[in-house]
Amino acid sequence: MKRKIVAGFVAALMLTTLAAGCGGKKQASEKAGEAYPKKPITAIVAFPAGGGTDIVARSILKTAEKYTGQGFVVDNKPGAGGAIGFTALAGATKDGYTIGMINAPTVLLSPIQLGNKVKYKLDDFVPIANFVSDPGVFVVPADSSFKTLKDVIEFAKANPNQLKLGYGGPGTSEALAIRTLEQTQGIKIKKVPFEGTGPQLTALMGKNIDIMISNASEVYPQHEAKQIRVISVGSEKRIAMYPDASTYKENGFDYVQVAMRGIAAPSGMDPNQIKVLADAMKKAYDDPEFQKNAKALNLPLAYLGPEDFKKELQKQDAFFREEFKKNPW
Amino acid sequence: MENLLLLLHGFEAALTPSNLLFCLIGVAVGQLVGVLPGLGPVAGTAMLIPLTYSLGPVPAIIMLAGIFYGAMYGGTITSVLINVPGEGASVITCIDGHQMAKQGRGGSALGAAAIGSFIGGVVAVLCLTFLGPTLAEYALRFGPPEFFSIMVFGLLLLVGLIGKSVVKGMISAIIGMLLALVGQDPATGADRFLFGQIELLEGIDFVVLAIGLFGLSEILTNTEENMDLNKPEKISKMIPPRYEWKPSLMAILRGTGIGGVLGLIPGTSASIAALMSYSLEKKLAKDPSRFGKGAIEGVAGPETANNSYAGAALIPLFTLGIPTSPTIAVLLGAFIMHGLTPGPLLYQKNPDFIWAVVASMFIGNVLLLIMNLPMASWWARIALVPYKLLFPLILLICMVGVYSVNRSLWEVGLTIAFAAIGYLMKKWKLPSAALILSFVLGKNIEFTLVQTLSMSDNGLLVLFQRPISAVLLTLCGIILAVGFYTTIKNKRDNLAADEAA
Repeated sequence: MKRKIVAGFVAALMLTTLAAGCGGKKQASEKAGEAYPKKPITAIVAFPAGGGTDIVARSILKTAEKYTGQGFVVDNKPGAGGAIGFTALAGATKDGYTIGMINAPTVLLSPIQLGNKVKYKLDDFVPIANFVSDPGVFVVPADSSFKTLKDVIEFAKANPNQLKLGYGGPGTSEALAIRTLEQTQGIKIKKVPFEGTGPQLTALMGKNIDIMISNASEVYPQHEAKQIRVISVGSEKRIAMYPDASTYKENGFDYVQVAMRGIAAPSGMDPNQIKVLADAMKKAYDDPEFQKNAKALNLPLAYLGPEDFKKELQKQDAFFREEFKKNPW
Repeated sequence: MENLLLLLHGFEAALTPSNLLFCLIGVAVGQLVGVLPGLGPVAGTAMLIPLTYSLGPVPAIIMLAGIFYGAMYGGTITSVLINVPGEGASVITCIDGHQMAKQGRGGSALGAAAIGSFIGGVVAVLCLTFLGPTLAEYALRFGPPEFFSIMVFGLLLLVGLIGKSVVKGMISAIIGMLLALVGQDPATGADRFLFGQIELLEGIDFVVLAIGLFGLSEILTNTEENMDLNKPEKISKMIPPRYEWKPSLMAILRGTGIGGVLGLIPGTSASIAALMSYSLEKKLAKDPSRFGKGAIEGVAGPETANNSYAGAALIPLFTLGIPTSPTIAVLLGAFIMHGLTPGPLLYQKNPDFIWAVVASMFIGNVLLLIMNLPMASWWARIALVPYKLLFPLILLICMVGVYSVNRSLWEVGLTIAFAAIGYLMKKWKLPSAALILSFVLGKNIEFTLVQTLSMSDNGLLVLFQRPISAVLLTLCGIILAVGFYTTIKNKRDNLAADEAA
């Protein structure tokens, strides 16, 4: 009997505290919602200043200032293929004044590949918006006899271990695409690792390699100058940048390869604050100023809101985990 | 001829007061980041990019390019005066430059370096004007096997500068190679020697290694000595004495050639240009024993080479849109940010832009010469500041420099660890220059070897099937053979002498 009373008392106490807690929280967040943001917001970029991700971050945030009423401070934290910056974002204070860029699939691959050496996981981030989806591309020299990816696959079938392909090195999303290509088509290719697209293009134009895999936005100047040809794109549908390039799927290679660049908050941040930022990002994305800059920078745009971005990340994460389990790279 | 007219138009644009001002700001900042250890041209350009947002593309790129070639001038000063290389390309300048300063000839060293830098810089810009597109096409012939061979060649040259004891030099070089292995394996992606530290995944940063090994350890050993007695002589003249003119000039001309050719080739670096120039000068000298004790050619040659490298490295960027070095990659980012796409179409689509930048580089080099010749004596006074004031200041600048690269305290800690290693190396007389150069080359040698093997049909044989690579490797063989022959001959002579005695 006595015990029951005590239990009831404790329960009542817990309820009141809970109610009080809720009330307090609600009030606080409403207050924050009105005034948020009160000061400039730091945006962590896990890659060096002047790099592809940095450029996307700076151009969207510049426009987003109009809608938040506060500036953004870009904080470049490069190193370990982005893992340093992603870790910093995952562990950042959750007061709403630190957000950061996340790059899929890079952000997904490091924890899978390096296990507990990497001190963050996908759940540590709350996606806010994705801006860029840069499809993978297969590129050949302008005067190459390959016209489509199908030609390349046929050549590789007839001549095993002859085709020289430049890619971004083991463990990258490109490496995974090539691995899947080899497995599904039953071909063998010579894979030559490169550090960055620049050296890859040099080797391709100098005919030291026959073909290379990169991302759509990175080879546009050379494509425009007709030094190289993009023969296939890794997106679901053909893209406006390279209307003549057929998709991987059209060539019988059922694979989607896209590099995404978006913005996320550390998980645990106030949902109302996230909503404020998500709305501002959506408006900034639709703003003619950003659209104009993105066009000048050859950025393949693709907006995803918080929910869609999260679903996409989870889908990709599951896919890569499955692939890794089958055959670690 | 057409190019000449376009260049004149470029001068018209570059000489407007505002563009002239941005050129001056650029080269002055460049000089400063060159002087400050740790803050190299990469960090300098990257940090100033945000400042250029509000500028138009022409002043922005004029300024950023100014930082890049200005840093090559500035890097000399700390190397010569306090034995701390301001940036990677000046490591080799420490060897003879600092000796000259100790002998009171610091002024001559800085003077020769400034004049050499000017000649190298201007010749490179001339090449950019008239030969750019043609040369860039040719440089494309270099593939992974050629890079591998050129790096091996560089490594072999390194053996020549190792110092008195070959064994100690080899120990240093091998430690450098081992340090280069830290990070991801280029062939498999497996991580090596991380010791659980994710910060090491991309390998050890060059700046961290250079500042720890050279800068901090130099200060540690110096503080042990009697600080009042170790002061360098007062610096008097900036113009080298007449008898040093001819050797300097020859070194400058050769340095221009080496830097210019290497700058065209993507994947090389200004450090390699400086290294090659130094060893060439040592090989050609009548009395090679002067090197390491303050030979002026050992300063004039490498300093010229890194400057003509800086100018020539812009050729592949402008004409092909391909960055040849980390700094150029940052510059490429700035181009894109300002809505310009580097590449063959740049000459056609934005001729006004390109020629204004080229013209500004002529002007910038003149400004730097003015800044360096009369003002180097002013810079040189740094060496006259009492060490007890100077050292804490250098320590501070070094630490801030390291921190500013990636804003990582972890790397500051690593720098301190390397300072301890550098201190012990000095005590045991292990040459740290050999370590750091083999570290730089080692990374590239491994990477290009992996590339070569993964594209080759018949293993290493491909290195001899490609003409450029085959010639370079044959040269390596000849150098080795000559080296062994002379060693054996000397030994036999010594033995004979012993027996006779």
